[in-house]
Amino acid sequence: MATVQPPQRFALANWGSFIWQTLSAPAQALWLLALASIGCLLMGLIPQIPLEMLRDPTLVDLWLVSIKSPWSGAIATLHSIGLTHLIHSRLFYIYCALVAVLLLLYLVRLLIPRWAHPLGELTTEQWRLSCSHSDTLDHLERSTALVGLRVLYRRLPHAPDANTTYIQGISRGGRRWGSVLLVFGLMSMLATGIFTSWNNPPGKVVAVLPGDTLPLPGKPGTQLQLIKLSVLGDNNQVTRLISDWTMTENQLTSHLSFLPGRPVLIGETGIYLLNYGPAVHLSASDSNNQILPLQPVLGASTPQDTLRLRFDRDQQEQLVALQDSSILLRLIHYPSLPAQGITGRALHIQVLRSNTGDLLQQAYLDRSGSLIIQDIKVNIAFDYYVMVQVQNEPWLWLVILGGLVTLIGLICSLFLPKRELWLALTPSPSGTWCQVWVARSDSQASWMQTWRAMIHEVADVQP
Amino acid sequence: MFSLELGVLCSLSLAAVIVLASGTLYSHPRFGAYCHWLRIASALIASAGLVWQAITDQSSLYGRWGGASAVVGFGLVWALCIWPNPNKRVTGAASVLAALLLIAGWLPAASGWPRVFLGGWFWLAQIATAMGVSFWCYAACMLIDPKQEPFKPIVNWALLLQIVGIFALAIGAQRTWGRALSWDPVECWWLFAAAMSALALCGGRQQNWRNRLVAPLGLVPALLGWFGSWFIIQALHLASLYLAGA
Repeated sequence: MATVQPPQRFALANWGSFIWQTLSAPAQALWLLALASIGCLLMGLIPQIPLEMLRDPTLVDLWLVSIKSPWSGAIATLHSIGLTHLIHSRLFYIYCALVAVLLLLYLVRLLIPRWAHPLGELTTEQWRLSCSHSDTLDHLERSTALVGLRVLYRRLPHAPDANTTYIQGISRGGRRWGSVLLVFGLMSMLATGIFTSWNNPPGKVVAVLPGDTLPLPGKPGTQLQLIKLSVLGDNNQVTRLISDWTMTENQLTSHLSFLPGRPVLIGETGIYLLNYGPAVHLSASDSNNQILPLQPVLGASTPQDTLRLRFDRDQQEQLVALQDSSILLRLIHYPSLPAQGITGRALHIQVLRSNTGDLLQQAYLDRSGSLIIQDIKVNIAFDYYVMVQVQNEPWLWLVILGGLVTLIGLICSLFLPKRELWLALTPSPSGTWCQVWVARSDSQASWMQTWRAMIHEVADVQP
Repeated sequence: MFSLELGVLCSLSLAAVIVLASGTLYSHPRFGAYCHWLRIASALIASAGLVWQAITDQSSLYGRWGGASAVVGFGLVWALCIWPNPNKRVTGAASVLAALLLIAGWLPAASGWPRVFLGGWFWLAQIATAMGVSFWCYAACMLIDPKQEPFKPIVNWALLLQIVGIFALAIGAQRTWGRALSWDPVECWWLFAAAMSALALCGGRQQNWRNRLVAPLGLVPALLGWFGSWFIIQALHLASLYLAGA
């Protein structure tokens, strides 16, 4: 009995089949994962330009000059080949497209199984079953079903022997659909991620002080107002930040409480409390209790009865002019000022004569207080501001769904691995010759040994 | 009523007592058969202590001795669980070694990480738990004969934990900063570790790499991600670019 040969891999007639099998083979995952590993490693080693800077060539040049790393000498070269903005480079988009195409092909392969000589390492066995051809088929069907496989009969147009019956055993239930779910979940996450990155850029981050209102994009009738900020904990280590807001929608007012890490969803709009920083409220009055308007020297702002100022990493100093007086206030914020015995936040206030710049008076405050300057009283209240991001997230549910499906598929794929075997049955006067192909990793698996033992009951020849 | 650390310590101690008791009962004609289940129970108790720690501790497992003790204790109990089997003593020794490495890893991490988490968030903290336990698994796989039964499920669990950790990180980042993935260096190191683990598992399944490469491919990036990434990021001045504003 000659060994039954499956269709040749490199025959011209099967070039299409070969390409299909190659592209849709699960082994492609190795290349994709290797590329992903290299990409992640590079991004963990080479500084990456933030997206908001990448859009401005001037900022990019500044970034390239300012970068401090062992690669700084070669940073221009790395930038020219796209390694400083890998995630926004064409290489990444090509990679994503490659992943999407190969996932799609693999999904088709999973959903429409066909008898094809599998690529990769295989073991081949040959048996002769002395019972009739129909009994052989019946026995094989039952044995294959008992190890959890579904039997599919295949016609092969290029088969070398017309009498040969080709059978494929494929997994059922979680063993089959686990891989499908995994691929489907990955595809949906990838597609949603790419789509939203093009069509739904991240929302702007805005600084909000108590009393400020925050309009919601796409919701003209709705606005949020920050009422109060509470920072609980000691001065050096914040333990909890709570912000109380009111939301006005169609003349209805409701109270909301935002916390970092716990975003609030209003329809499809997510509101994120990102960070906080120090701020002060300033007001001034003369000896007749007449309010004196205040105005920051820098920036185009109007005089206000109560001035709210914030300090951040880039600006720890503010200069304020008192209307109808020749006084300037210079406010310098310190996270801590040990030289003055202040361990927490401190405000250094210098009172300057506006025309000469002479220092008239100075004070250090570690809490809210007031300052008497000649006959003017300046009230200073310590407060905080918060950085808030408002963004539209219509597709978030799809990403979450894709993640869940991926996780379920992964668990099924890991703990219920796919089983597959290929059979070619050729009748002969001395019985039916059965040739079996199975993946090498499955050849000694318990299910394959069970299947083999069942076939052995009726087989009389083994190679 | 109890402090958090005390509660975790109690659960781990209880688990250790169960393991030791099951060891002494191992040769008992009547109770010997139940030893296996006692060890599983002890592992579950230790895991419950770890999960409790992770849920109730608002700060990250990084930089907290309570959290560190939970993960280290989990590994030690796990080592005790497999210790009575004479074929796996080396695995137990590897687990103890990994516990010591884990303790060493906490010292530098203690100074840098709490600031990143801004008060700490449950989901973000889970990446530490998942990675910590996953490299226990890989450490054990380094010394188990790949043909033995526990190898394959342990590698599966290691990868699953890493992927679950990445998902938890993404959920935490989305809830905290509005972006599931910012591609900052820390995230990239975790992703690198998970991608290498997936590569090792795929290679093992499809190309029979199991004997040579699977455990090292999973373990080395996980160790790099855990112990090395912070040093590397600081040495390359990447921390100032991404983490200072957090």
